[in-house]
Formats: sequence, C-alpha cells, structure tokens
Amino acid sequence: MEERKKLTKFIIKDCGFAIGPKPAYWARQGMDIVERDSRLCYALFIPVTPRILSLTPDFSTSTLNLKWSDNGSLFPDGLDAVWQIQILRKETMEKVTQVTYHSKLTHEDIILSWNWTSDMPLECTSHYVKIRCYINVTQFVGLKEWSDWSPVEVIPGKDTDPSESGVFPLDTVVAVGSDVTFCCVHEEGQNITNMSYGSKPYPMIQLSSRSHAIRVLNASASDTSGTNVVCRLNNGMMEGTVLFVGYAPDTPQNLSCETPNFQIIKCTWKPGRPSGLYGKRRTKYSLFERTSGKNVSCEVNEMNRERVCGFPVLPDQKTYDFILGVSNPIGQAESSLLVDITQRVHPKTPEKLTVSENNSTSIHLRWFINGSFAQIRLLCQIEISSGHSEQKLPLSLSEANGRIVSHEVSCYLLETPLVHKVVTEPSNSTEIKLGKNDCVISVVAKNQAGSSPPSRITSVELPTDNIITGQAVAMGNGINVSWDSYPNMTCGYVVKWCHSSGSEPYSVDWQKFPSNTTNAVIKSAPKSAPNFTVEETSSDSILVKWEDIPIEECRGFLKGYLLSFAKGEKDAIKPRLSESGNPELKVNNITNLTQKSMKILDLQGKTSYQLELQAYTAGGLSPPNSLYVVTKEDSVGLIIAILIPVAVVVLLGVMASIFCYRKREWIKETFYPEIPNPENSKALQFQRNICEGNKTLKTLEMNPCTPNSVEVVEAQSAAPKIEDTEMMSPAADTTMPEDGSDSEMENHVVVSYCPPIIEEEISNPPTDEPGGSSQVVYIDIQSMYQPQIKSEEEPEIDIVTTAGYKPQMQLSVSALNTESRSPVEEELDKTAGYRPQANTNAWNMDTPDSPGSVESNNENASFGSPCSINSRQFLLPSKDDEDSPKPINIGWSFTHFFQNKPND
Amino acid sequence: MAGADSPSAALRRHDLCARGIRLAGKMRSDVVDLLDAYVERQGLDASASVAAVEGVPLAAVERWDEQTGTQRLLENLAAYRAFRSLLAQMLEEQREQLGEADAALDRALAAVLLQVSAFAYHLEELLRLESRGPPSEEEDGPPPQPQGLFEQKLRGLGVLRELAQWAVRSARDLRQLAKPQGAGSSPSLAESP
Repeated sequence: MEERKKLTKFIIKDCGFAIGPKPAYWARQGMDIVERDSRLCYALFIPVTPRILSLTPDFSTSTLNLKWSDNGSLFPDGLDAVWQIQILRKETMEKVTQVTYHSKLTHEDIILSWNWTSDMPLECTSHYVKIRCYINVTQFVGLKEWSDWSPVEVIPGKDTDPSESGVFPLDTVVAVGSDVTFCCVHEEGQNITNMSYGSKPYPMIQLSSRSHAIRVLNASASDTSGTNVVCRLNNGMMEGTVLFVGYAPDTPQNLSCETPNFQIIKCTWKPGRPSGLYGKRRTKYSLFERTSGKNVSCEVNEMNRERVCGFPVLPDQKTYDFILGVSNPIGQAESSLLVDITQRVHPKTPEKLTVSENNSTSIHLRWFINGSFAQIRLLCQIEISSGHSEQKLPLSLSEANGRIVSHEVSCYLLETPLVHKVVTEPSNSTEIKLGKNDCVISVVAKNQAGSSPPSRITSVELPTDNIITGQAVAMGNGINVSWDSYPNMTCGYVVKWCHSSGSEPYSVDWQKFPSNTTNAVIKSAPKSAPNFTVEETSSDSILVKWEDIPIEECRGFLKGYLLSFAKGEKDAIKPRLSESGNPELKVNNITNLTQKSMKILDLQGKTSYQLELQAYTAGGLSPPNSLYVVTKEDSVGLIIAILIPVAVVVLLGVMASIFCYRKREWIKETFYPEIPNPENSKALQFQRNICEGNKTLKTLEMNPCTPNSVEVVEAQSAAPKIEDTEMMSPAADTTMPEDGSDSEMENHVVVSYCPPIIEEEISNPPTDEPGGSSQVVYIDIQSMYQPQIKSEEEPEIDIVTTAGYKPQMQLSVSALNTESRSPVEEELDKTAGYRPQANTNAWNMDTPDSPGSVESNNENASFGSPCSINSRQFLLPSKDDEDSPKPINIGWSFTHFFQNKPND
Repeated sequence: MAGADSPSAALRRHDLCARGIRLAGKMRSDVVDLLDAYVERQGLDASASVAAVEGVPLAAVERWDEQTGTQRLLENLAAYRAFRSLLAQMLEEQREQLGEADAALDRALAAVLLQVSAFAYHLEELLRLESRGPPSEEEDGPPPQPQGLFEQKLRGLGVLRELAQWAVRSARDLRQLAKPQGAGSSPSLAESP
C-alpha cells in the first residue's frame, strides 16, 4: 500500500496516469513512461487534481457559479469524465451537499460551469466549494481512482466582515408555498432578542457567533407592501428585510385583437389570477408579433381587470401572429393569437354627421370615420326613421318679445296630457313617441316674462292630395259611408268626421276600420241630456218631467230616453249611476219620444234617490243629467208601526193579569210563602220599648237595603271623644254601661246603619252638634278599617303607610279643620266622593267612612281601600278584612249591640 | 427690527403667525392620521423604536425659550425643507414599490407633502417680513437612499414621527412669535443676529 501510494504520487506528478498497454501511443501523446516494470502497469490511474477557475456568487438569487477546466487536452477524445463537487458551509465547514457532474473530454481544454442555488442566503455565512474528478480511461486496464480534492474556494458570509450587518435575503420575491431561510447578521458583541416573520416569532438556528437564521415553511401570499422579517437586537435596534410572496403570472385568457381604424391593433385579455405583486414587482406584459419580429411592451393598469395593449398596424401586413408574454419575478407565461386584421375591424361610431338638403325629395349626408379603411370594403348603414313629426317654425325676433328661454311641448289626447317636454334654447325640435295614439300637440314659447298662447297641431295626418269626394247617405241610425277598396292599403282605413253645426271650432272624430272594409255607418250620440225636474214627490213615488233636447244637440235621431234611479245621498261623492254598478239601480227605458213625464213608483219613504236622465240615439248615449230627490215620510206606516207593538204589550199584560188572578193561591205558595210576623219575635220587644218615644225610628222595615239600627248609649260623663282604638277594641263592649239603658235615654243616639246611605244618618261630625256631649266615630262595617293611635313622632309617613290606597294625593292636615268648614262645603263633601288631583283644600275628609285621627282631632286624610267615585264602597277589600280579627270583633260588637241591647 | 416698526408689518406678521399656527395644527392632525395608516399598511409595529434617521432634523431642542425669533424661523424652515425632500422621496418610493395598489396612502402622503411645502413657503414669507429673507436652499442632493425596503419603511416611520413633533413645535414657535414685542420672554426679532 505504501508502495502504491508512492507510485500514485509519482505518476500524478509526472505523467498524470499510469502506463497503458500501448506505451508507444501514450508516449506520442506527451506522456512520460517512467518504468517498464510490468508490476506498475497494473497499479493506479489517478487524474490530475482539477483546479477551480472561479467561484462567483449571486447574492440576489443565492446562487453560486463554479468554473473549472477539464484539462481535456491531456486525454484522448471521447473519454467520460466525472466530477464531484462538494459544498460546505459555516466556519466549521459542514457539508451541505455533494453533486456529481458528468462531461466528455474532447481532447481540448474546456471550461466547465456549474450553478448551485443555496437554500440559505449566501450572505448568512461562508460557503466553501471543492471539486475532484474521475476519468474513465477505457484503455487503461488497471485501477482508476478519483483525483484529489481541489483547493477549497470560499464565498465569505457577511458575518466575516465586521462592518456588515442586516437581515438576508434582501427584499426578495418568492412563490406562494416556498420555504425560505432568513438570517440576521449582527455586529460583534450584540445579541438577537428574537426574529419574526410578519408578526410571528420563529425559532432561531445559530450559524455563527454573528449570524442566526430562521426557516419559514410554506410561505403564504404577502400584503401589498410585503411581509416584514424583523430581527430585534438586545440594544433595542431592529434589522429587517421584506419578503414578497406571490404567484407566477397566470396564462392570459380570452386574448383578442381588433382594429378600430387600421392604424392601431387593440389586443385585450383577462389576466386570470392576480399575482399579488405590485409596483416594480408587478406582472409585465409584452406583445410580440412573430412575422415582423416587432415587440411592444404594454402599459397596463394593475387595478383594472381588463387589460388592453396597442400594437401598430404594419404596412402590407394582414395577418398578425401575436404572442402575449407575461412575466413577473416569480415566473412567466404566454398566450398566442393568429389574426387576420381585415377580419377584425370594429369601426368607431361615425362622427360629424351633417345633413344638407338637396331638394324636396332627397337629402345629402356627410360623416367622418377616423381611420384608413381603403383595404377593406366598409359598409355603412343609414337608418331612416320617419316618425310622426312636424316642425314648428321658431318665433321671429319681433314675435318673441325678448329672448326665448325654452319651449314647452305637450301632447294631449282629448283633455288628458300624455307627454310634456321642455326644450331649452337653442334647440328648436324634439321627438315625441306617440305609440298608437294620435294627439293634439301644443307648443308654448317661454321667455323671462311668461308663456305665449299655445300653438296647436294634431298628429292626425289629413292627406291633402288625391281627395276623392264621395257620397254619404244619412240613414235613421247614422250616416252610411262607402268607399272603393284601395289595393295598396294594408293597415286599414280611418273615417274622420266633424259636426258642421254650431259656432264652436270643429272637433274631429274618427274611427278606424280594417282594410277589408269598404263601408261604415257613422253614428253620433246626443250632445246633452234633456233638462228634467221633479214635479211631485210622495212617500213612495216621484213624478219626473223633462223637456226636449235642442235639435242641434241631438246629433241624430233620438231613439228614446233612459231614466235611471237608485238610492243615493247628495253629499256623497259618487260616480255616475250608470257607471256605479249599484245593484239597486233601476233603469226605465222610455221609447215613446212624445212622453215628457214619468212617475217612478214603489219607492221607500223618507229616502234620498239619485235620478239620471239620458237621451240616446243609434250613436250612443248622451251625458246624463242628474237630480237628487228625498221622498216624503210615510205617516200611516209610522202610526201602524207604533200601535201594533203597544197593542201586543197591552194584550200580554191583560193575559198575565188574568192568569195571575186565577192562579193566585199557587203563586202565593210558590213565590211568596208566609213569613212569621216579626212583631211576635221576642227580640223585637226590646225594639218596641226603646223606640216608644222616637217615632222616626224605623227598625226592621222591609227595605231593600235592610238597614240595621244601631243604638249607642253613652254616659254624659264619659270622655268627650271615643277613640277609634277603643271603639274597635274587643274591650269596647265592656266599656259600655250595661245598665244605663233607662237612665240615659236622652243621650242615646240611635243610628241606622246602611252602607250606601250611611251618610244620611250621620250628617255632621259629633263636634258640630250643639249640645253634643258625646261623640261617636263611625266605621264602615264593610271596610273593617282599624284606625291606629299614632304618636307625635310619626306624622304623615305613618298616615301613608297605614292608610293603604290613597287616591293620587297627600292631603294636608291643615286643610281638614272642620271648624272652618262651611255648610256648603260639607254638602259638597257628601256628594263629591273621590276627586283625583283636585285642590286638596276642597276635600272633605269627614265622610262617615273616614277614620278619625287622634292627634289632630280631625279626620284622617286617607282611605283604607280604593273607593268608587260616588258610592264610597271600597272596591278592594282591605287585607285586614281577612287577616285581622279585630274588625270581625267590631262587626260583632255592632250586632251584639243590636241583639243584646234588649237584654240589657 | 425693521419689520416690526410699522403697524402694518406687525399686523401682517400676526396674521401670518395665526395662519401658520392653524396650518401646523392641521398638519399635525393629518400626519398623525397618516402615521396610523402608514404603520398599518407597511406592516410595522407602532411601538417600534426608530433610531434617529439621517437627514431628519430633530424637533427637540435645548434652551428653546432662549431662541430668538429669527432663529426659530430659520430652524423651522430648514426642517420643513428637509421634510419636503424626504416626503417627496417617500412618495416616489411608495409609488415604485406599490404602484397603484395603495392609492389611499399615496394620496395621504401627497397631501402631507403639500402641506409641508405650504408651511415652508409660509415660513419664508415670515422671514421676508423680518427683512431678512429666507436662506437659499442648499443643493445637497437627495438624502441618502436606504438600501433595503425595511429600512425605507423604518425611515418613513421616523420621518412622519418627527414631522408630527415638528408640527407641535412650529405651532409653539409661531405662538411665541405672534406675541407682542416685549411681552414674551424671548428676545425680540430685532435682537436676532
């Protein structure tokens, strides 16, 4: 092995390869034969070490270009050479890739070139390249080996230059979906805080002490201003670069070319998918014509979806073979079109059309089309539309009374305006589409001062030539007109006529007939209806009289009259009876022309009727005359209508009386059983005794309200006022003197209690009684209200809280002074009831169902429950009704009082 | 100070100052809006700190209140002339990079450039009123162009931020100038060198 090595070195140094089988041949080729020792002939063949001629970086594309010589002149022609190229990276010289390159030796020194694109920007770190070769010398039967590696060539990274820093690659463009590596080269002594792509931070890969990288996979399309790659340093500074990610241009679609004037060819296409690249990275278009070899770059608007490019029309060239080339930094595409330009002409709208009049039957037209159409037959179409149009002459200066501002053109069908146009000066014509209607056209000139009288023409054409006067025969129902059939007539005939009588301007009527018609009967309706009056009305009939129509308004032979009538009020806005569709409409046809009156029967009394009278001829009905009539009242019917129900009621009453009389015993037993005489009741013995001296007392009378009599017996020496609490307390019974019924008779106040009429019994507060030594406070039994004693420290608030419902007000206590109350006020109070939102001073708190107030000696200002306005009955039961046992006791105290008193 | 001698000149100066203050206010408002749009459209971080950009004059100054009126006007004029040049370059770069893709930003930038030009003219008028006349524009050539697009973006951010600062300072400067002679703490224009 040592020997082989030695030999190899030797051979390489001196002759390049080992001795072959034909030493003479090799010697002729300039090779030294060192030894003829046969042992060496089977030794090694090792090519001379290749030498790199140049290694050139392209930083923008991260591409390395390697050049070396194949030393082919040393070898016979046609030998295969294999080259191994190794790429290394970083200071540590890590192997990135190793590629094999094949070539053929041509017995000449050829400079070979090889490119390699790095996946990492070349600026990021140093890249190294070395090469070796293997030459397949077929004639050499011994061992062949690779040459030694060439000396390493280096492309230093930016991290080797102390002054360089930045993020790489600098502002590149890649296709969507690419994987991109960025590196940040910083100055010595600094550190990178983070690196981000867009807004997203990425993990860093250290390349050297001054260089770090991030790898972005599957990049998505960037914004218009690109995606920022930012490297933040620990000193707060930033380095960065911008990456533009977009698409290669799409193949142009729908390419089409045409010329408008044989001066320029306009090609249009649709760009397809947007590249997402703008500004200087935008997609650029060029139009290449293959026949002429002419190339035109196209300036197109990026924001416009439709692209247009112009190409000049070349002399003597009809066929154009266009290739539309599209390119952007990511890629390119093209689209082609072969076009015969004479078949792709799209002339522009002719300009400068002028019309000059040759004579009355011909005109001369001139127009201009920009372009040179000599090489083709240009066909021009002239459309002549003969609409209904007439020209009105403009007013002369003397007639205009100043400058005419505008003309108003209107078109009327009878009285209905169809079209209204304002034509401003200086234009003095306009077009009106009539459709199928003829109309009267009126033109009014306007100046600053106002409008002129209208000038009118009708659109109905009345030919003035070839008039043939024919004869028409007046018949009973019209005028019979006949004419000869005119062979060229296709659309039909129009018969026009006018009434010659009268002083008004003629109004023309016309009627159209189909082309196969040769005669017609012209009929005409009366112009007006006869005047008519109502002679006589009754409850069921109206007598109507009318006059003859003047003969000039008949417009034909009268056939009769139509008298229509229906119910209808005069005030109501209603259409004509004949058009109203009223189901009650009745029509009387009067064919006897001598009849001048008619009685309408079977009408309803006191009803308004609308009457209409029309005359008619064979031509039709006249416009109607209308009247409103109210029929008279039918008095007999009214009387009958009253008498019959009265008689029926009386009869029924009599029958009921008889029935009741006959069955009186049965009725009495069923509905009116015998009631025991209350005077026989023991309880009422007391009543009788008590009330002996008081004849006004009405106890247990059969009264709808079943009043109860309350007798309050109280001692003169008792406290001047009985407070509510005492009154309502269960102990109230015990405070009553049980044995004072006889001795204190005069002091008894007997009160009849009846809720609705309780105020009748208590007209005044006890304090108003002249000799009132005793005071009684009444409580509405139904309210079951329980007044409470209030301390001085609880003024109004307690009133509110204890009072329950208060009708929308707080009453001032001062307003309740009963001393100052006038009798009128009191009277008002009795009937006033609830007065919402009224003056509180006018309120009377002294109603019997108002509880008394302890501290003010006045009535409490609140109610226990909502009251109806007039009845003073509480609408809602107080809670106390159900919960508090005290009111029940009060009730019982009253009833006990009634019932127990006699026992006392 | 020659300009301040006649009442009409004082009135004119006051009027120019008042209008200048309004213009500076409007400029400030527009620049702040433009800054927001710029940061968003260029994909920048609004909080990014930008080192002092070469060629961009700084609004911050030491001993501001000791400056004379003429000094103020001259500094302002120099700054706005620089901004005019920088903004024109930004506009050109913007059009080159984005084409017609971002017309709104292009319009806003052009509008601010117009206001800066108008303000520079306004300052020249004020200097003329001081019988001083504006200094001739030095033909330094365009400011050095940043190498990378990211640097361009950062420089644009720096220019707009500093311009916003200058708009505030200019309003203060003009307010100072508009004060009646002797009323302000600053030396009068007549004392200016």
